[in-house]
Amino acid sequence: MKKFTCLLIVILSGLVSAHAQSFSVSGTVVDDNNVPLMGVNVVVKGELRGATTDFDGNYIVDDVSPGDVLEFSFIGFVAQEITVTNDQNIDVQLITDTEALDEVVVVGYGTQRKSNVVGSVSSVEVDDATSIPTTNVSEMLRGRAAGVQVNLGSARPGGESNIVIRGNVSVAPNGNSPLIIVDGLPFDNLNDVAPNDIANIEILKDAASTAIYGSRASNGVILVTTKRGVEGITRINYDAYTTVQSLTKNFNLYNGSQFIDLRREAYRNRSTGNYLRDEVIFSPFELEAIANREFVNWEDLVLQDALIQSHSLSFSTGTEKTKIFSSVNYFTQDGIIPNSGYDRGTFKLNLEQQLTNRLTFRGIFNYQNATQDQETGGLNFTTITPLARPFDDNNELVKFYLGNSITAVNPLWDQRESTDESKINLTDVNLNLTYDFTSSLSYTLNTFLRNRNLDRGIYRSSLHSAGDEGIDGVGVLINNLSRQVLVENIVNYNPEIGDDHSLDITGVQAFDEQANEYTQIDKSGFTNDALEYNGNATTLLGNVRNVSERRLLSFLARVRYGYLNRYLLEATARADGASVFAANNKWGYFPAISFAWKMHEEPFLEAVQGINELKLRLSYGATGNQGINSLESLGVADDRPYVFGGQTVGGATPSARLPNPNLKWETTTTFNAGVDFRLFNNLFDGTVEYYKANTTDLLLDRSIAGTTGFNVIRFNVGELQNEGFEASLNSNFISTENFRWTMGLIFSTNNNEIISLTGETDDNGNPIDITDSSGRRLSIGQSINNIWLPKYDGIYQVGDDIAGSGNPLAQPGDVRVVDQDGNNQIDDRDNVFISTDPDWYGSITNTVNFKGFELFADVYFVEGATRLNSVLANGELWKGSINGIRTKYYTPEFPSTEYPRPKPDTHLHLFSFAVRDASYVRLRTLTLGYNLPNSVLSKIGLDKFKIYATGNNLLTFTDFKSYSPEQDLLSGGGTSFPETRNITIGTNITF
Amino acid sequence: MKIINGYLLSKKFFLMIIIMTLATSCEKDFLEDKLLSDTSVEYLYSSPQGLESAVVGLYALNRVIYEDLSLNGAFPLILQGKSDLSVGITGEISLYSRLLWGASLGDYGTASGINAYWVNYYRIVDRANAIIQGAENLTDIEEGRRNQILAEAKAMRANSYFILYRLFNNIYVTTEPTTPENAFDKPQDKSSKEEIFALLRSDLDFAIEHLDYNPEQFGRWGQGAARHLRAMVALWEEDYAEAAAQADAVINSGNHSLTTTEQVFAGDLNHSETLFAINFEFQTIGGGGPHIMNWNVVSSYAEAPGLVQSIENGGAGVGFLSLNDYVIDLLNEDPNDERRDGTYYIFEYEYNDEATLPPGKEIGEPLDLYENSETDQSEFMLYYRRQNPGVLKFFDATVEPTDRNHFKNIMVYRLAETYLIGAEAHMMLGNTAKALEYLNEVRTRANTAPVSEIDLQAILDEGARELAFEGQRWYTLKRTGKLYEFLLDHMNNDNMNESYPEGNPKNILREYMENWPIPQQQMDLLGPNYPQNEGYN
Repeated sequence: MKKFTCLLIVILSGLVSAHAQSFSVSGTVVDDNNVPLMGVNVVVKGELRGATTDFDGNYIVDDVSPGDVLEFSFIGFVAQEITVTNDQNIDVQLITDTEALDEVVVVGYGTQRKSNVVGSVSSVEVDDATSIPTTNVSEMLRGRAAGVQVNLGSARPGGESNIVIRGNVSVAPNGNSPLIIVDGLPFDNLNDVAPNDIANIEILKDAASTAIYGSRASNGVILVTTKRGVEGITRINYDAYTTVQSLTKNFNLYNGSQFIDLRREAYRNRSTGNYLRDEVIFSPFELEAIANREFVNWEDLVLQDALIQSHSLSFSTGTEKTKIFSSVNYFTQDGIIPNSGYDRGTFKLNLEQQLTNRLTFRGIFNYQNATQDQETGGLNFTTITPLARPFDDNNELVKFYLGNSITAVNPLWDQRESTDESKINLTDVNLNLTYDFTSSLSYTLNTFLRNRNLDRGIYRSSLHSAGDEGIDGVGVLINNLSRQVLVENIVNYNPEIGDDHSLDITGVQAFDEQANEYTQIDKSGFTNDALEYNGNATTLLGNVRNVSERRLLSFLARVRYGYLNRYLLEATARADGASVFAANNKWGYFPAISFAWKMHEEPFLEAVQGINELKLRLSYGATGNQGINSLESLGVADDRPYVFGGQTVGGATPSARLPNPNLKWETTTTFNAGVDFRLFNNLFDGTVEYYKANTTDLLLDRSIAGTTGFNVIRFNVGELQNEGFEASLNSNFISTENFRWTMGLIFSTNNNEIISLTGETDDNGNPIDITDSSGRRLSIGQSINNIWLPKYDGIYQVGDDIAGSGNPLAQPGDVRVVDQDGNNQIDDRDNVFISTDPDWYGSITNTVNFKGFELFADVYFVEGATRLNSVLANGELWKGSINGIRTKYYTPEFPSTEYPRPKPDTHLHLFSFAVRDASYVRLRTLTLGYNLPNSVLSKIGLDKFKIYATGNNLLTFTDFKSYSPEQDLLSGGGTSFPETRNITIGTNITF
Repeated sequence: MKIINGYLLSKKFFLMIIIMTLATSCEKDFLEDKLLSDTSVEYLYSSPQGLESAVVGLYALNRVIYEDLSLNGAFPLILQGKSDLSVGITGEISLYSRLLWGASLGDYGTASGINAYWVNYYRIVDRANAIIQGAENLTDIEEGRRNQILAEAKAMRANSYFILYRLFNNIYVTTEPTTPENAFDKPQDKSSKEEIFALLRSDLDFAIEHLDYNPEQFGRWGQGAARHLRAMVALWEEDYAEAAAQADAVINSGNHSLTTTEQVFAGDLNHSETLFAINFEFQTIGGGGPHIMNWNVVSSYAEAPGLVQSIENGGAGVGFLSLNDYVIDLLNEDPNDERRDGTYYIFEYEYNDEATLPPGKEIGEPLDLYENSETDQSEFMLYYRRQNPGVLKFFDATVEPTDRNHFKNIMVYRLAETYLIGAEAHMMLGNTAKALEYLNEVRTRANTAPVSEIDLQAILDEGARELAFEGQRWYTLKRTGKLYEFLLDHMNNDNMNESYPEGNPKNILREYMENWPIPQQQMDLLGPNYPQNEGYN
């Protein structure tokens, strides 16, 4: 792949340098204030060539003859055309175009001038966002837009994060993911977009902007636009970086001797204070390790620094009739856990061709091929004992690393004997035809087909602990085919109805089908380990086939009306039918209305000097949620085969989920009020917004009495409210010839609160709480994300009134919790709600430019979040049975008020104890870049040359002990894949 | 190109696309939610094949508790841990033995393990209810086939309700299957004992009438198991005549007989003494498992010098729960008792590793390095962990000795217990000769001397020796009113009781603990006045 990339560069650069004659024109482009402008397009009119200005506003255009016309254009400025004479130096001053400051932003089913946007739409600064070396595009949105919260999902190569826009509006399992629309097409995964292909990201947050997406939009919409060809400019861009990832953490594990002390302390007799003999509490093997002082540092042993490499090459060109953008991206990442990694190659072609003067064809073709490797399941290097011997005297791996009498298998051994590969093939084809009946009436047919194929093979060899002992290897073969088909008929009508009025009407009819076919085969008895999962097996252990399908049928209409370019009104209505709901409740109806007042256009404000823009926006509307799995309104039976006398007999029983034949849409109604402003000659600009979103008919998964024989049923009940305040502010503090400093602030709060539930009451007439299927306790007035546990109240000390406390059997050094009802017993009734949602989160970004240098720093804040630390909550840690976060635990000699006393049994109330503050401040990105000046560029025949160094996750301040403040140390029986500190060196070259 | 353009541009073409789209989308079933790879519940209860596979599902559900490996496999051993015959040494299961878990509303053991029993047996009841209703309503089914389905489902329902009643006392019984419509009709009160026992009797009488002594496949309910269960139900009602009659019927049926002591727990348990057993099979679809019961109840002898894990020594063991001194002494009463000799129980772990053999010991000699000291905690902990006798009733001799995952079938009801039930029933009816005869059948099979006098203590003592750790002891003591007294006298061992960091469990023990607490999370889902068992609040 790499070779191929290099070859392309050579060929393409050859093509570019093939021109060269006549003379070159150079000069400087400045703005009204004589500040040099970077990035101004300088194009030879009618030809596909030109240049852009560098940081100092300098440009050079080669091969120009007198009579040629140079076009100077830059967003926000009035374009200029200058005819070349014999003068080889042409300096230009561009005049600010207040109209043109108005960027065009993408909204649902169309685009709009930013100043005419009525709903709540945030644009993401793509250059800042993509400064993280990852394929996880969700992570790139973190801190980039107000109201957008990103939660780390998995830090592994190829991993994903979860985006929550304006809080959790739903209690349904798939109910809180925003809708992802890339170039007008629904994507199931934002990470399928190669970061280098992204031109714009817009986030639609209120009902007015999302209602047009109706059914899937109650959690907001992320609109991504990829790069397109631009008329008159031909460019080749090469972007590459290399990253070193290394472990970063804020806690220590117990080392060998500390671990021994912990165990001894745990088994100390409580009444006499005597230590038990080591022989009693350590195995003979451990005693030997203690005697030889052979201890293992598992983190050092397992983890190693790892590399990321990324190359992307793109080509774009455009004429009046044809516009092409095409790119090839290659990304490869090794995980800091060996055997893990991610490789991805993507290919993209965006094509636009005007077939006739009325008919335009647009096509998008994406192809992606990715491979994800995962280490052996449940690899743990955090809580594993340091009293171990993973290697023998010859430095060969040992299977039973805790001695032959203990059956636990060396994780490094399993690691060696394990393969887990996922191969993903993704093909997208989008064909789009637009026919303009008149200049104001058009029809578009939009079709989209996506095939995603996942092929996963897992093999645990005959030596692996899962595949040994007479099994002869275990293999799992998984194949998953997802297919999506979308067809949309779009009609747009925007008639001229006089100078004072504007009208724009859009109508859409759409159907969308997603089908999924999953096959899994588990087998064992492999004759040859070398072939891994591709080998033939002798025993079938299991086979799974799951086929599901969901369909959506929609009709929608939108009307935009403007008066005097000051008063803007927009109304949207959408009807959606979704297959996942019950037979009689398929359809949902989602209207929205919004209004904006461009106050700065009013005569009375036009004269006010300090106000460049002031816009007031109000909107109110409804969106729907269908984030449940199919079949929940139907009775489904689980396979339950059994063996009678060794013979398998097929069996089945209804699943623990009771169907609800009346399931219907969950609806979120949002009120949004916002002000957009630009002040003091563009020194400040920003947006302040308030919203309140109420979700009704919650798709609530509710536990039902065990006496029914079922666990859970989903039904529509109750109301949930999200209310929040958002602000974003950009300041252009300094803007001089050689020095520029801009700062961005983003701040968001969200308050999640349950307004009503089932309406049932308890004996005392209080509304009853609901426990949902994931164990969440839902209670009126509380957030749905709250933890429900007894309240931690410190550590029992000598002299405390233990007999009169909630745990009369406790001893000094035990965890104390509050006995709310004072009945000398701790149970559910003593539980209180503890908020996990942050009070606020936000970011501060600073960009400083000095001559060709550019410094970018991004600091991210999360304040007031809490999280349960499962390592601190693990009773085995306090027994000295497992390693974990090292603390100054309680001993009779040094009584701690913060940490409990180690003991041979599981402490009570460790979960309460382990609920910890997870607020943090992090320097997420620090980049130093340098752009070569044009004087140099012209000599080497380049348009742009930038080199940069970036550090990610350089500093984190938090009390939460983990590899990431957003992630528990353990997941799925092993250590969570650690977040890393990354150092990147990269370059960006444009021909 | 021109022709194509012309065609594309004709309005007909666009009209056609719009119509096509609308036509497909408006088809009636376009938005229908369909089962594409799952069995529908409707099919399950409306055809003979469906009902039969639903019956198989009941057996699978009945295995769930045993397969549950959470909390180090404590769930299937809770009854054993709470009995008077075990000592909780360490691990989760020992928390149940020392009443830190499962003896109050607030503790984690109640919210997890105790709750699992409530949920699982009620699930079996509901699925059996649905099968029974489905089979009764089905018109197109051969009568014998219908009765077989009904008999198995009713036996399963009675067994589950009987377990629930004995554990939780305040239970609610219904024969209505749960539907979306009635799921929120919360039980407001417990059912009366009369109502519960009427249902148990009628279900079991039907099962006895329609089940064969030799079921089609090993592991299904047979008439012997149904009668055995019916006899147990009768004992709870103090209907000794019925209990005696049912026990006699099984014993005299000619279909069941006691095997030798070695055979009882050997192999797959498919022999004449077994009445009902849970089935497992290694590496087989439907084979379930594994369970780690053996690992919990065989000591960690391989930690001692001179021993490695071996089949002869009982495979992989961690020794979280074991036989206590009370039952060990009972088993040692008769020097010829065969049950100690690696058949039911293992009393001696033999040296088998030359490399680490301690000085002065020989291969094949019993491990004797540790002493169950009364006071020296270091000493007795080593003894309990490494040398204390263990239980072999769940031991799968076919897996590697280092593997704790076993697929051994698990004995639930067997003829030896039928004899003891018969002995008790006849004794209470004044038929001492018959009672002695039955008791001595069990004793002589174990190569112990016959006795000539009988009382309840003698029967309970023999039950302890014969049936320890099979899960019935706790019920028997509760039924005979001896639970509190026996636990206070024998639970765990006193040196362990005094070493537990949170204090002696005998100080925690209360008489009301003969009923398990209904977990708070379940109380919250029941009607507001549904009664919790006395003592728990």
